[in-house]
Amino acid sequence: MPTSPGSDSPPLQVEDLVIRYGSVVAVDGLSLSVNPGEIYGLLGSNGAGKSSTIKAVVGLVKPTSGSLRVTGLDPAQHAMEVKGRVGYVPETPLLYDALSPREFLEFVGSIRRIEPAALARRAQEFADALQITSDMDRPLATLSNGARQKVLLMVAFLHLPPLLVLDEPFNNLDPRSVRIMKDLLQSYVRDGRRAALFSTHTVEVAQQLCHRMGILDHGKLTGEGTFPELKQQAALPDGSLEEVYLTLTSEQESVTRAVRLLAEEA
Amino acid sequence: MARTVPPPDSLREAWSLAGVIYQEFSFQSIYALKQGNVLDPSSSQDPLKAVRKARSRVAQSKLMVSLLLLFVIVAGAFALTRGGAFGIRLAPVDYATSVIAGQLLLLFSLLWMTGLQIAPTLTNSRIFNLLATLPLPERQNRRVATLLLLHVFDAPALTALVLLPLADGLATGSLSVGLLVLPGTLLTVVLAAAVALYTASFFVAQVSGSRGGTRGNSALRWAYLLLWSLPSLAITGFVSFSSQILNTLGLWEVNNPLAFQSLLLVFPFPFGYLPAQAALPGQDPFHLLFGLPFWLAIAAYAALGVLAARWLFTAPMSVSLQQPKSSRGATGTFPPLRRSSPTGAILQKDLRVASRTPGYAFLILLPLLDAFVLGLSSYVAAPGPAAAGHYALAAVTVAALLATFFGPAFFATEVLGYSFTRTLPISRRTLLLGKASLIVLIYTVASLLVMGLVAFRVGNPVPFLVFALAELPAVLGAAVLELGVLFNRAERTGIPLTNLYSGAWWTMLVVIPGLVVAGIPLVFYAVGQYYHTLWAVPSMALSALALLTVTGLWALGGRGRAA
Repeated sequence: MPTSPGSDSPPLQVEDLVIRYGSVVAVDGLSLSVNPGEIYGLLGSNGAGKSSTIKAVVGLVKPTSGSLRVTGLDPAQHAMEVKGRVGYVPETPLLYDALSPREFLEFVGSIRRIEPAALARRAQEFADALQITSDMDRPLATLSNGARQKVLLMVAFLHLPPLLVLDEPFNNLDPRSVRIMKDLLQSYVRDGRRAALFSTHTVEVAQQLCHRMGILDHGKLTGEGTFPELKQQAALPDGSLEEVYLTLTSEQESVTRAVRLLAEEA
Repeated sequence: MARTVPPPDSLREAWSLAGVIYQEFSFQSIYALKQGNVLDPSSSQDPLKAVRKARSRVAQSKLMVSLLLLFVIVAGAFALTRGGAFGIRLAPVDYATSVIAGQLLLLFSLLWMTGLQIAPTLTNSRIFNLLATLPLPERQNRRVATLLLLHVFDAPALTALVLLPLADGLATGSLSVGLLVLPGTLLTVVLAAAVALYTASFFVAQVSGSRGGTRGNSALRWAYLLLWSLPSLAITGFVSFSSQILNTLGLWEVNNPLAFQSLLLVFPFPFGYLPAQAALPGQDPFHLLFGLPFWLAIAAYAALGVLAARWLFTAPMSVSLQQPKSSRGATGTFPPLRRSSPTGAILQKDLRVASRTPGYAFLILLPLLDAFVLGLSSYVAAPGPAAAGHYALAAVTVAALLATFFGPAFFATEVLGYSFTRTLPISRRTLLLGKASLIVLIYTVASLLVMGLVAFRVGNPVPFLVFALAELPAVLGAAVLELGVLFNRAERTGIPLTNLYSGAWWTMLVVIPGLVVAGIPLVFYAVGQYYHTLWAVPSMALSALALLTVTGLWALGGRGRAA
């Protein structure tokens, strides 16, 4: 039975998710849930399955098996409703290059049926805060990757979705904008009605921002919880998140070996 | 034996690098969505297979352009063997000159059009950005870019260079005709490649980067786009009106010999005149061969060809690294935002994207220009209301049939953005209707344009209006059918067509059922006219509505299905 945001269903629930591309298993039996008021960080190296998981949540990739629930709704059964409740920032800022940010916002605002005054107000607030007001009428093709990323962030927040799905959202952003977006994200979920699934391979960002983290390795969850809980799981009570991450993904030894080899070569 | 490694600045190394880059170029032009990670799983599993598939698709498209060229060549050669058989009142040597010049003009237009389709990919794919950072001499980078261009044009250019002289030589039974056609063909190929690259780079710099929002800028963009439609208009115009054009030349030859002689100095006529002289020796009514202006014109065109060839050796690299010109005048003031309905937003977005994307822009303008040309001919040439009416109906028919090429075009406008659009709460029905409504809008504007032009010549415009309205559901039906097929394919593979050049076979496969749907009511009209005039339009309208119902139910079924 479909439920509305704010009900008992968590913003995101993933159970035993498997995603295969031919013989390649990108996600292998992943289970996690993102609770209201929470920023959940997916940490993992390239190819760990973070982006495939996120693409399944937003409907870009069909899961091979397992179940996904976004605010209680199955994206396969209720694709339109789910897409209406999610704000998404893709890993690569692929947009309609021929459009300007203003035209792109008009397009998304019309599709999402955002009330015109609210659309204009929120877009202006974002553009001013992220300092891209003067870029609003330039074609996206002419903008820097950072400016394109800001446009995508604006679009993700525009309709105030119950679930934000952010795939490496701070890529290409300047430090000022990263700070603004981090603070905004924290205040966005603070009221306990909204949540965010956040993918990154930058451990410092995850540590600062996320209430809980899931560490993905070869499509499997090798650790999950708050930072203290992860330290416990890695048996590193005084370790940094980087050390915890490398231990839980069994990468510590290979990192040490690679550094030694490279240092000798240099 | 150890393999000799060529020096990094050798031609062999440049050829090898160009091959690698051509592979990437083919891949990107087919799988522009690869960064969206929505390649079909089999391609992700075997990337080499995907690369081979991309190369094969591009090769197929080149083959199709070559086949079109072959058609032009054979049709021209056939016309050379049948001089005077079509009732053309033109001296034999001038007839042969005009036919060969026509072949060269069509070759020029076809290569220009092909170049316009693919040259922007050269810029958008940014395939030279990496090469530019490698420690290679700049001369070598330029050479690689030029060789890439050669890879892109190789099949059509070779078809023209080998088959056009051969076909004309065989048609006239003269080796010297074949040999004299060759320099004109070579010059045409070089000039077409240069013009295609120049206009494409001009477009990327000026139009892709132009500011939206103001009416003046939009008007400027559309003015640039008129230029874009010239080659396609030249092809349709020349093919549709070849006999009228030849007859007009015949009238000039008799009534205004000075104008006709001047025309013979304009490219590509001198390169038709020389082989025509070899085919029909001793027939030089204007004594051009003994006049300085003729040889000066030949020398000037040859010099232009050399300049163009030299430019082609330097320009592709700079064009491929070019960025759209950033527009001036950006202010710190936040612009007003306008919200529309979802269908309206798709229509507006497609119109904006298409008008700023060279490959699609000419498609929008083609039916409008076609309507204008046919409408104008009906106004100027038709002797009475009945004939003008026939011209008008023909113009609307052509506009309806041309509209069937829009389905793939407007679907292809999604390209990279499609991976983002699929994450929006937009139903397949809304997306499909948004695109279909743009197609119907263009058909309607084309029909109104014809009506405006012939309003004064057609005694009773009501039958014309009823005809255009009766065909409208079939145009919508064809659009809905084509888009439905394309959406099904995109759902299966995640890949929309990227441009009409790299997806030419798919375009044809999709357009054929569309043409059938748009054509059936026209057949009903023709049959109705034959048996009972009163039945013509009602049977046309009923069949069009029936087709719309069937295609609509098939493509738009499943309420709430996401795009």
